[in-house]
Amino acid sequence: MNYGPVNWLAPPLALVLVILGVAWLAWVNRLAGDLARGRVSLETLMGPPRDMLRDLHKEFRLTERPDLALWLGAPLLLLTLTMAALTVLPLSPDWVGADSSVGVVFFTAMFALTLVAAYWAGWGPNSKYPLIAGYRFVGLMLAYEMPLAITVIAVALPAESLSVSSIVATQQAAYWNALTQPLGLVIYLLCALAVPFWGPFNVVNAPELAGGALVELSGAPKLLWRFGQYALLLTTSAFAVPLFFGGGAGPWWPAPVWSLVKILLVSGALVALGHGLGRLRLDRFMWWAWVVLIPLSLLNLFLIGLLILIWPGLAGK
Amino acid sequence: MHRARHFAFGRPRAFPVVGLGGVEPWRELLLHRQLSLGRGPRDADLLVLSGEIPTDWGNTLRALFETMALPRLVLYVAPGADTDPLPGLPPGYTASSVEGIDWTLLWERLLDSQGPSARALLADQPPTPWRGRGDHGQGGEGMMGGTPYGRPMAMTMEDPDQLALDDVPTALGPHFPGLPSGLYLGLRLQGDRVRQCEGVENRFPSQSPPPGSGHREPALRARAREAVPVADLEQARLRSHLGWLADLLDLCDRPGLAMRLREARKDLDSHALRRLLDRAESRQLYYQTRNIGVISSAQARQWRLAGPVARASGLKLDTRNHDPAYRELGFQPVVERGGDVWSRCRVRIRECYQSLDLLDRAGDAHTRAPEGARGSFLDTAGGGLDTPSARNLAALQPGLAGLEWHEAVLFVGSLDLDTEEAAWR
Repeated sequence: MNYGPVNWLAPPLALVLVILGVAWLAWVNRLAGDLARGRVSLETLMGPPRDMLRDLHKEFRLTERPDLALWLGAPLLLLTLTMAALTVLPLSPDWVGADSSVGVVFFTAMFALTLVAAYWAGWGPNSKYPLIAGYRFVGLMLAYEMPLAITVIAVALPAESLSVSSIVATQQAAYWNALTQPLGLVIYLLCALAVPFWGPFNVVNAPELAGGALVELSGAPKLLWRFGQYALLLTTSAFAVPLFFGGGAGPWWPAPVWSLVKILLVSGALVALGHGLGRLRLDRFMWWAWVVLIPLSLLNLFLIGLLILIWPGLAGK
Repeated sequence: MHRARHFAFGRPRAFPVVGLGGVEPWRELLLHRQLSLGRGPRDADLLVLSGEIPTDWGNTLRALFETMALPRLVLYVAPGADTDPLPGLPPGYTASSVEGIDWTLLWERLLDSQGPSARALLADQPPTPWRGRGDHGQGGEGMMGGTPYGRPMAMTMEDPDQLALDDVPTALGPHFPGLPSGLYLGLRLQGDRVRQCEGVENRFPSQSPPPGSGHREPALRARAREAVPVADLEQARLRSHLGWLADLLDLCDRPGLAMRLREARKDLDSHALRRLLDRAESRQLYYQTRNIGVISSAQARQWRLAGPVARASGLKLDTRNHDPAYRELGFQPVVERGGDVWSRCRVRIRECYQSLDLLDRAGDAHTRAPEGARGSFLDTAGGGLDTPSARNLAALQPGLAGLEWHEAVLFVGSLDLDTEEAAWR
């Protein structure tokens, strides 16, 4: 564990960075949407703050006999899981909330618990469409969780450690995992979109369910849910940086700046990609995940293991 | 605070309810930059009542308006409208056309926190009392099935895999976003799979087609043995197909392309349209819609399906095929064999290309083929009107069984049902 002097600043700083990151993603999302519509204007810039203020001024209206604890707890849980996962994200060797020796296990566990938040959001309002949305996320999560876990193990293999900082250090001593495991990178990025049910994986807030988990939600809780979803997307994208892009490695700038720049680029690209891909059918994705993605992630794991045996320099030895 | 509130609702979100003759005013409103589309009533600020709303929808609309969070307002858009349409709803803002909307006044009424729209329309109490014995007032532990205290309860039923799953009664419509207003489907769900469609109800009242029936007018005139310019008929078909395609793309979560198609359908610029149609007929749409809601040619014949829906199932049903004017133009009906949602997309997209070609060649050719965008208008044995939408409604009940929820919504959308037209007699 790192108990350096920067740690007491970490929680408020992390919150500020997450808020800025979410604002960035909301703006990129708006820009990508308006580009697709052919309607880029001043409203593209004003849209995200307008949406935020609108939600704040909108009434929170109850449904008949909701389970309020779960309904209102869902966005809070989503946000809590995000902030918890971020504690093991190193911006540099010194800028890390908790440099846990099992950081990889910790953040994937936080991602897995998203299931609980999505199901609460479906169950809480005592309404049918959100409930269907909750069911569907269970199916989606079961499909993406295995390829995600196997890919993350493959990333940890060259470092022979489950610490995120060690994975970064190994890449800085040898090669970035994005170069040695391109297949793993693609699988990870797909899962990084699926965990926060974004773009092609948006089965929770889907239009054919009139908004799904959001159909009964309004006012500040809705703003919190949307914020949580953006923050989760930011977090899943952020972990691509230490896992695949060498963390804070880069010339001229200090490591935390490089980490932040890379995070903004990866997350922005994923948000824009979500607009270009169109939504996947859940049945088709489940077939793809079980029949194609899991074998591919196992192949990736096998290949990287074999490569390290043949060429130990790949793992910085 | 006041300024922040004004800024926040500067582009209010709308939820539509489309009445008689209301499709075109709503589509026009959708293109307006002052407005955005709400995903559901709770997400919306404006309940847009477009066209003439049947008076017996009052109770449903009151309940719908009551689900909307404050601030909220009813926006009534109908040609010649000067009063609020339904006595049960609070006075909102009334305009005879989209151009006639005074947005400043509309915002003022929307943000009036003491106005009639802010008051509750219904008493804040359950529709029927809860007297159950459970912790949360439910019917009682261990109870299943029936409708205790006016609330239908799930009962376990065997699903296709012989698993005992809860069978949940639910409804699609009568005002589901992206699907035609007034269409109510009573469904039994197991998980998100439709086990059975118990009933299909069109809530538009039966009536004669009113004069000036939008895109259907040229085909209706042709049905009355009037010679109609081929160009009019094909323009109407093109506009209708493009409107349908935009709505389907919205359901497939592709709002960008949907918006571009809606804009292009205003002036029907051939070059721009061909480019957009190329983009729409993509592998992406293919993967999203293939093998969903398959209707075989035998089923299409048995259910007397019409127009592109029948042609997508391999039936060469098109009255233009026997029309001398169309024969002279070298017309061949567009037919697909798959019978699924993708085939219905393909037929309509290919018919758009065909209409663009025919518009180039038609000149002042006239026709008496009563083939509208949704199929042919026929005479019933009693001399009444048999509309394609009424015939295509027959596919819903048998076609929905076994579909997953997203498939069910796409299936209904793919039939291009016009509930107003289906009620014409």
